[in-house]
Amino acid sequence: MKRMLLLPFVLAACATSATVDWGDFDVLSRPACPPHRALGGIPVSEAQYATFLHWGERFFRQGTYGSERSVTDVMGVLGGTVQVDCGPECSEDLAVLDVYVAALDDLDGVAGNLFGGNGAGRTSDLVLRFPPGTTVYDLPVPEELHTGLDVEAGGIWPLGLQPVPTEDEGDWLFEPSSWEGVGPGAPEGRFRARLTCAACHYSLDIDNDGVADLDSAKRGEPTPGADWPPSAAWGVGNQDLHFGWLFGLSANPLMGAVVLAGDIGSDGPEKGADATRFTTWLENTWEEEPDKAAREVVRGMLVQPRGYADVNSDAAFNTMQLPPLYTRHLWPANVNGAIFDPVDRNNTVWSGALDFTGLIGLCLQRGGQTQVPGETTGGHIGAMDCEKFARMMVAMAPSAKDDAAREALVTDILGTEDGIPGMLGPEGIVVIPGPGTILPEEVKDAARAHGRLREFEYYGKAGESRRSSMALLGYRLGLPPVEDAELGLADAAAEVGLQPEEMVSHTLNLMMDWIEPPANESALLAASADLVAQGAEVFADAGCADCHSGPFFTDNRLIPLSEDAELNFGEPRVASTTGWRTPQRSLGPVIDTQPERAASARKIRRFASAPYDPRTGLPVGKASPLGNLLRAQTVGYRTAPLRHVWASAPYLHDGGVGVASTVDPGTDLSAHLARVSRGQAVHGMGQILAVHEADPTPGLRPDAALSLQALVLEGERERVIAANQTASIPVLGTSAFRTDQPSLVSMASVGVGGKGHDFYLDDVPGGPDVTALVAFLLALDDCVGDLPGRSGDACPDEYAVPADQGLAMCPETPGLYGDLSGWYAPEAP
Amino acid sequence: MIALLIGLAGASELAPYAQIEVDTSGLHVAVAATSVLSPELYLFTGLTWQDGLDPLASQTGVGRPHADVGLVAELGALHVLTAVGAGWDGWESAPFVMGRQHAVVELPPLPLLIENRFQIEASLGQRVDVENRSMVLYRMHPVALGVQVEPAWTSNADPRTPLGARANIEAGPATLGLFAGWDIAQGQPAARFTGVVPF
Repeated sequence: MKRMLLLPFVLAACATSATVDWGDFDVLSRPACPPHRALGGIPVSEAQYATFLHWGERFFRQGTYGSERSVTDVMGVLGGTVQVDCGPECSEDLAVLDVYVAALDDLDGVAGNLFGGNGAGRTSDLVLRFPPGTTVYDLPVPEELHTGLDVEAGGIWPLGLQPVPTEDEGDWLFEPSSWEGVGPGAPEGRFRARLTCAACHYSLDIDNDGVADLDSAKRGEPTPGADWPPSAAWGVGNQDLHFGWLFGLSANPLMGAVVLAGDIGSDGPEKGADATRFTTWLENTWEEEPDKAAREVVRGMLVQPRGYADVNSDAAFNTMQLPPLYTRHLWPANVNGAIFDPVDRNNTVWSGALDFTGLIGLCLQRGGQTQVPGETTGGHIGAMDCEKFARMMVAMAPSAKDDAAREALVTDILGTEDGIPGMLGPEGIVVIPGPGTILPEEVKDAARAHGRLREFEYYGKAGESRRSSMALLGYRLGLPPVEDAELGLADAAAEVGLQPEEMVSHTLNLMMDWIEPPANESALLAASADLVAQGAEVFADAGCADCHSGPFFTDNRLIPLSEDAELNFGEPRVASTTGWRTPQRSLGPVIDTQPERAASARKIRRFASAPYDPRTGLPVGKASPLGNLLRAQTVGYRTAPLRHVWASAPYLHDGGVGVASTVDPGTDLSAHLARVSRGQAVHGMGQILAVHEADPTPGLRPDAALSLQALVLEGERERVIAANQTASIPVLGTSAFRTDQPSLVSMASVGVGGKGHDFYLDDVPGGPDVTALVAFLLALDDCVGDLPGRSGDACPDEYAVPADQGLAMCPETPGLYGDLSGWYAPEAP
Repeated sequence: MIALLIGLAGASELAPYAQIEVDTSGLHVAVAATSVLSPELYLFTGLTWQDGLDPLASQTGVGRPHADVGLVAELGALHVLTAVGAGWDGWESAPFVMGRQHAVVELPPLPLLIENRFQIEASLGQRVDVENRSMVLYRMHPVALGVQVEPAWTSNADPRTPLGARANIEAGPATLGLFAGWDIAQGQPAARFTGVVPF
């Protein structure tokens, strides 16, 4: 009996949680391991590496795959209309685009020179100026609306909004030559604009002080006198972007309804049920009263805090900080471990975040059909009829001028004719019909007819392990025809030995792995340089390095979310009578941070994620519902890497730990940290943003040193958590959905609690240990050993090294330079 | 005793617990601890006192102390304790050795927990006992309900096979288990109370 019972489990349970042993790696005297000069794990020449880096930068900044159609034709970015007060009983329409164009032209303070270089005007926070009394859906619009959009010197498009020329005609298209009052020299023709990765992850404000530091983020265009190269802008994250206004001022806010809006103020156990009630109300309202529905959606969008993004498509407020993007030696590929492979991460971002129409994969007759024990079923998008959901997304689309145009959009989103769900260009997309994916038969049939079906095995060895996580929304990025024709992607893939349809993602990953966090050149760190070595000892002695280990300050493990089994597994559990059994306690203490982000991926973790090796990031088994059923798949968060904490406050994955200084920090770190006891600090991001929104130039911003102190001192953290629980975010107007919605909501209610990670120093604000530790943390940048004001260079200027040399530089981690040959190779003929 | 366990474990991450079992035959008290050796491997050390009626052979005796040591392997969803021990058998008035293996599989996607205990004890020169307890629990909060079967065999007595229902109750970190059933081989009722308290 014993053998019968145990044998299947012995065979199935083979996951590992061992981590890289970094030994005595001294971050103060050794550089972080440079990027491997390889693409998809395959070594390439120096010339090839430079080419692929350029391609990756291009795809990251400019995008591809045709998302411009949904962003322009359906969402109508910058295409909204506001109402301007013109006296009693009088209001006039004002196009948001006109205000945007005027704001651009005004960047240098000189009117009429937009297309002539615009006086090299630049900004990290484009300000739209509206007349007093302006409203949108009867909701007040600020006279000076800080968008957080970055515009390079002389640019006419913000970073992350990429123009795409088109021969199509339509008044919803961008036509710069028709922009009035901004001078001659406009580019001819019409354009669509696509949303790209750069919108969230690029910024010209490198040190997050509210002032643009660079003229340009383009390689080869350094800014005279700047402390940082253009590439410093690539990964820092746009910390002041206001997603709510970006979508709220579009022509069709209904497109983002189930992502960025919800039942405002809903919190606690009823959040999921409230979200379902909201989507049901929306489903029953938009057709008869689209403006009423849109107004409710915009109200929700404007609750989204600046610098945060809610990418959970759950009609609830579960926002998180826009993260910095330093991916080298960092896995699994996203913070909650739902996806271990960076190629699949890119696929999910592109198919679901940069084009919301891809969320059609989650509707009732598709993803909504996936029922899992212990997980809620239906609800949110999963409760919405697919066709109705598609119709709602295009209800206010600026390109839906007549029924025929509207029907064409609906059919395109459903994918029943071109075989591709969502509105990405079908020529560059494929679908995967295998088990665990969510496509209806008619879509598969259409895809088959167009030659757009792919099996897991098509992707070779990697595909066999990744399986359903390769196409969480049913479809997958392929080979974009325009870029292939221009760059020769398929030929390059064949030359290297990679799957051609994944070349875009591979080059993106190469680019992201290449980026170094910018150096901290602050006077505060320069004056505290003597404390850094002591801080490293505190870091080690306090046990921080047990998880935040090695040169990248992460062990790449997933830390269990909670001791509460229901949070971890979605169901209550009772322990066994076997006293020695404490499941997965070896994975370290639970993190207990804001649970929503991990919980939102719980179903994927339990059934679609492959188990991975923290040492290499590679899977140690196949991703499959049956296989995962026999494993202990941790639900939680990946240990955060710490490089760049000096400029990425607030902290924790939810961005919940933020403290701002109301006076200049000066150069005495201990005195600066002690100011929290003298009433010279603001605790809590809601409170900081409230002050910031009242005067956003440059506005109150979280201070890295004070926020790091709040991360490691229990008393300070308690102040932050209490502040996050306090209502601080204004809610505009009254709700047509739920009339008793509050007029102010807390940061905690939108998913920003700042709790958890309860590992504290025994010290007081400004005390010796915490001061040294904060000094060390502020030094974690591209080269920890290089401190401002000190001579010498602890790190060489190599940015990428051949595989053999790389192995010599970081022998502790063969995973970083391991042989991935064949991993991403196409299936053998 | 705790100090001894800590000394045996010799590691920083220590998880001590006490376990008490009372059934129709007597009392069984154990104090044990595990400590981490590696991420997947723990050292187990335990001290046990067993008193009352010999559950297998219907013999009476006072005291059956023993100590055991083993390893706990954490293999994904599967946790296995393998231990060996030695002590004095008050029933047989002879030293005895024992070996046991406990295995637990929990299935996070399903509300099921499967536990199996397999144990061999040999009083040197006297007899050999073999026992296998298996249970499947369907877990709800704060209780779990399931079925349990306990076939057992000894070299100088009849076998016994209690088969019955089990309820677990979770009270904070502690777990209490109640088994009630019928011993098919012996033709009599069978019952057991088990409590585990970490400290």
